Amino acid sequence: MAVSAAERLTVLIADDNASDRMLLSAIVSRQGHDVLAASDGAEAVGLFERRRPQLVLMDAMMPVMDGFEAARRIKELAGESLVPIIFLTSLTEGEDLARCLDAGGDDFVAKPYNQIVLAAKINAMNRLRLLQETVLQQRDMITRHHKYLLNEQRVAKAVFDQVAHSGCLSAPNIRYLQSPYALFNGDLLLAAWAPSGNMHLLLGDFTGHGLPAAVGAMPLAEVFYGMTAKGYGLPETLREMNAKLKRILPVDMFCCAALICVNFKQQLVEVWNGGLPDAYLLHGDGRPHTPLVSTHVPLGVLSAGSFDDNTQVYPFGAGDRVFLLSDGVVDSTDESGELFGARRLQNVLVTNRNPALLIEEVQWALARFRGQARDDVSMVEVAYTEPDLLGPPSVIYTDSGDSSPLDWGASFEFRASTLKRFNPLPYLLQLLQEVHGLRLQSSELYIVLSELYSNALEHGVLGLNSALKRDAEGFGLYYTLRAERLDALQDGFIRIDFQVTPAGSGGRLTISVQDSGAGFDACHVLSLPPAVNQLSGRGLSLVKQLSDRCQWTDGGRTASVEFAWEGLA
Amino acid sequence: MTEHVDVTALSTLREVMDGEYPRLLEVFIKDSDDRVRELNRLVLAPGFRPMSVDALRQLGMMAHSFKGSSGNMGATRLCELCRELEDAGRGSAPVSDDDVQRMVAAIEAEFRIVRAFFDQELHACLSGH
Repeated sequence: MAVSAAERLTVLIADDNASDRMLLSAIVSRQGHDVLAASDGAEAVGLFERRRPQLVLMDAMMPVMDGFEAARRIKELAGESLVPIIFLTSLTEGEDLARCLDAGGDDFVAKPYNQIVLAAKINAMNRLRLLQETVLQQRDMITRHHKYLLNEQRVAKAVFDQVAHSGCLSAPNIRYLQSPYALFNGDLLLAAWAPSGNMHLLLGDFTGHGLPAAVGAMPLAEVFYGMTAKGYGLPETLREMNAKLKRILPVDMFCCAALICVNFKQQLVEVWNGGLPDAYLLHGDGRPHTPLVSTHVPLGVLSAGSFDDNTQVYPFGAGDRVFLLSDGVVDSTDESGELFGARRLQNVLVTNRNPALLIEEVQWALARFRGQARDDVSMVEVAYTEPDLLGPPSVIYTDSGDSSPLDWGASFEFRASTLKRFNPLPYLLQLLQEVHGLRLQSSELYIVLSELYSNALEHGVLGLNSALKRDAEGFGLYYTLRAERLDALQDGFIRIDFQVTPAGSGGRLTISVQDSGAGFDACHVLSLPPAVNQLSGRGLSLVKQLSDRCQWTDGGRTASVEFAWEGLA
Repeated sequence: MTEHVDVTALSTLREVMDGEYPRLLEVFIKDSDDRVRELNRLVLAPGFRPMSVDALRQLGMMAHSFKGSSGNMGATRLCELCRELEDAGRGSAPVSDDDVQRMVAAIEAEFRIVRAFFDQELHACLSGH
């Protein structure tokens, strides 16, 4: 019975009997295989090493080196491949037959030789051999693919680290905990300075694991950093991030996120939570913590028309902190499947005495509760700090500034319907930053412009009374009124005028901001004691402090400020 | 003759070996000649008696080998005699030196018959039978 070419094996036969050897060679050849013949164990091992047959028929008792030793050596040489060894034996004792198999033999065949039995056994052994070959090939393929996967993740992480590095997570008022593998669990933590001196912070949690979870983080980080650097506030940044994710992510992927903006100068924090567990506002005066509940749908789900960018604003002063966490914290389970839960977390918040140890205490509580660590536990704590203690915020520019406009004027008028939905400040600031000499003062420019614009809008056009912002309740009321009146706005305008003129080797910028409101007594406000002025006044002394010259005309409806700069080297 | 050589087995051999059948017979005859000579040498050597365990084991191993090849050639009675000597060589039951000598003699005698038959067979093949 001949075999097809594909199954033609090279078979090694080892038998010290010449006639047996001849007979066996003939039998195996007739079955279509190639035969190698050895007359003792040593010769068999040598032949195996040189010619690497697929199968071995080995006489157990041979001179020089017996079959058992030869079998052991051949198995060793074969390594992880399976080279079946069929012992040829006229041994009949069970012990002897067992010894054949123990020595590494895969089967035995009795003398006298039966060609049918031999053929069947050779085929059966060959099937086993091929099975082992398949297993090894697949194992090698899996190892290769695993290496590629790890490499892909490594590259993705390296690219991402470039995108994320420009943040300010190392600021002295931020403490955080994040696993190095967080990116591939979808956990994202970003922080950046705005030109106004505000700090924006984003904690995100993408659906999925591995590369799919990480790949959404990069575009999101670009939007966050880009818009924050340009001076956009939370609502615009949120709208952009949501639109971007909605566009690029597949339907079943989204990002739960919490975004905060800390305004150190005005001592408030603005919060938006879409899908993350409750964050907490921890008060320095001993009041119980305020939960910052998720009231929005995660990013990347709703279309632009349905997206809600409304934020919550809270007072935020000395001793206060915001604590944000990903769901890896509350979703940790112990062996019985019970959740760690919000209550246990709140327990830690309540019993914490030393604020510096809060994150560690949460970690200890988690460790005590469950057996193994999770890679997606992310926590961040942002504390209020006096603005002077923070140091200058670093904002990054990407152009060379060679084509700097030095002698020009521009006027803008923003009317009611535009005031409702458009924040012109980032564009105006971008424009001013084209003047290279002004860049060193962009922080002051932004603060002053923001102050004047928000005064013009809130106190001028909307007619809100800043005295409301006296306490926590008043804050809430003030911002509710602001939203209502803005929504209902029909008439009104704000005009902004820029004049840039050269002066010596440098130049001068004059900004005028005019509103359609009732005006106010600027001199009176400026003469008020500083504490009252700063928190609930119009921040006028701040404007005065930061600009070179300022004045209010037209009954307080027009504010003009000047900035000057020297020539640059 | 069938009690000495299994003719069915032999015809299978003839079929398997095809053109190599005569050579197989030749090789078996020559190898077995050598083997019987070796068995006799061991058993008839001076200093053989009393037989040592080692010598007995050696005899047993030779018998084992001869058992295998004679079995393959269909020489069933010869095969059986070799098995008896192999068992003796294993030392599982006590055996006297006389018994051993007797077994070797029996093997030689049986082989002489088998050899004669194979010679005839060989001659028939070579003359185109």
